[in-house]
Amino acid sequence: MELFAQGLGHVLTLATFFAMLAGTVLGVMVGVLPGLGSVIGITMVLPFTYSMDQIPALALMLGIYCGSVYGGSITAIAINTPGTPQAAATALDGFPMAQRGEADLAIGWATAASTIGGLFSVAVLILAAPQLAAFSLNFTAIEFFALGVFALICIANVSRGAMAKGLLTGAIGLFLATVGADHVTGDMRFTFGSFEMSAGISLIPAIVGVFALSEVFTRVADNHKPKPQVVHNVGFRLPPLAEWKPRLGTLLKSCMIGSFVGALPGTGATTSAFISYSEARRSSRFRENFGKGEPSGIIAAESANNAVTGSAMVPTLALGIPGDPVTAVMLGTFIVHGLTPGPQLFLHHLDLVYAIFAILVVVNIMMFFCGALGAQLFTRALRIPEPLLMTMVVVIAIVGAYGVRGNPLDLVIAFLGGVGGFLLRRGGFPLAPLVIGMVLSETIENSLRQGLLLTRGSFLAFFERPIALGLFLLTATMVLWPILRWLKERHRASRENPQ
Amino acid sequence: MQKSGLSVAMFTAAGILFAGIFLVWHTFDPAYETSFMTAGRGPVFYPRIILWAVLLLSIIVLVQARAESRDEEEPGPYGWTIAALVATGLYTLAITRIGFVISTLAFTVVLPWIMGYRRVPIILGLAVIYTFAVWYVFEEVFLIILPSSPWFDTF
Repeated sequence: MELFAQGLGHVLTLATFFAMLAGTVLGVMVGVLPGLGSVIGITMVLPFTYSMDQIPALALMLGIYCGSVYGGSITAIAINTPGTPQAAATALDGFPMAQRGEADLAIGWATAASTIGGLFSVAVLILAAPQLAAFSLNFTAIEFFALGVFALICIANVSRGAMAKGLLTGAIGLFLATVGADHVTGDMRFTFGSFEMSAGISLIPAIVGVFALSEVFTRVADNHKPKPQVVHNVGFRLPPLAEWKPRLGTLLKSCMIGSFVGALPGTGATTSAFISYSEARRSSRFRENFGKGEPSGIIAAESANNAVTGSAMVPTLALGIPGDPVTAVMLGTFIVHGLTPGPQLFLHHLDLVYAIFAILVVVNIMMFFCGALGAQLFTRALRIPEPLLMTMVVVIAIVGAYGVRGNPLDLVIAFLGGVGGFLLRRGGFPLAPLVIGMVLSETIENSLRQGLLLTRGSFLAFFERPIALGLFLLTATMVLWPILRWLKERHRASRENPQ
Repeated sequence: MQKSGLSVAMFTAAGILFAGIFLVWHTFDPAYETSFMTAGRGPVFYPRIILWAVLLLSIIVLVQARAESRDEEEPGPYGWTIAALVATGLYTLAITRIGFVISTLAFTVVLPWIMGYRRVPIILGLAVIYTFAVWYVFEEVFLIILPSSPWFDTF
């Protein structure tokens, strides 16, 4: 508690307060605008943080993170098009409520549920992250290697129906991070004699290209498709307390589902929102009304997707292992600001860790007031013509890519990342494993090489450590399960149709 | 809907496969044989494992894409997409050569046009206001130096 008060003390300065406010407002705005999302939002504000102090910079980015997850719900309710994928489940009951003239009430439910979900997950983060960090101090390089591989495989595995594609983009991410000087021997790898390449492929320009620029190229390619009709004049109305009482069970269960799912690598807010929505539809006393504008549906989706924000930070902060692309970008931006997440962070910068906890608490409260006071204003942002919006995104994204190191090569990397990301999107390849691969590559390589030194070059000795063995078994299960399921389905199909 | 012989997935996987083959071949370059640290493993020990995985997975994706040979959504007019790619590519090259302000002024006129927006006064207004606003905020407020042109002192 004392540490948390200290963290709060760091946060309640004028600069940090304005950073949190600006981050939350911008985050909600980014969430409202379809297609932008948390990753693009964070990469867009990153250049603004280069000259900021550490805590205000983190406050701005955490505000964007939490605000953007919530902001998607406003668009989902207003125009039946989720501003972010995380809010897709919200549209199922939010839009029917808007159709019967209760858009303001639906936004009220979504805002309150998001705030409660967000705060619940911060509590989980505060309780779980220090314990996990303390536990991970027992890890050797071998455990970190097993953990890195497990996280990557999880993320590739959740690419439904495209596991091979997910693994392929993950492997490309792992490879891209090896370009440049070898951290152990100092030898240049894959630089082909270029001095500029010796610094390697920086994460931020790659993310700018793969996510932001490829999104713009995709929008240009899809420009001929019909656009959703924009609805304006969406307000905010807080649901009466009596309406909450019969739905408290759903709220609590959804917060727990979101927090649990969020802490698992590769799942994220979209998955948690749908799992929570399905569970609420199965168990709620109002299940008959689901899909027709039932507030429990909004509560389930919104509390679960915001409950991910804090819990997804548990492995990111405690182990330095991001759970999804958003936390991967957050991890990258922490590094840009001189923070290296992992157990050492909890040993040497505990004040900063608690400042992050305090920021998350304040940001979630601010998010409520943003929704309450600005819902109508945010929906007006949907009036900005897409070509102008996309142009502004490209310019800021390019400045962000250049600003990390001031290296012209980063602009080329961003552009090539954009072209590559566009092709991968068109080919149905998931992009998340690529970014996670880039982030995890150094951990995996260093721990593999250190592990081999520890075991005198024996791979087999990696399986003698219980935690590592458990993680390897889980990884093997994750890889083999879809193959076994495919073989089983094939066998069944051939039995049903012998010819 | 149309049935395409060579889907985007196949095209992309084939490109990755060829790049992977080249890079695996490159890892046998004598330049990498100079260092044998870390339990006898040199600098390309780990990348080589990754590249072999890339080769294997790109073959699997190729085979899967071929086997599926699914109906693909008919692509839209790709001419404008190529124009957007070229414009963005030129913009990223031009920033460091003719400066942020001039290149951004040009780009913010061209991209909305490519995306089908034709209200010229608004495009020009956005180009001027947005470009100078971004330049001012970064140069003067955040003190982040953006590339300047060879012709003007300030920008």
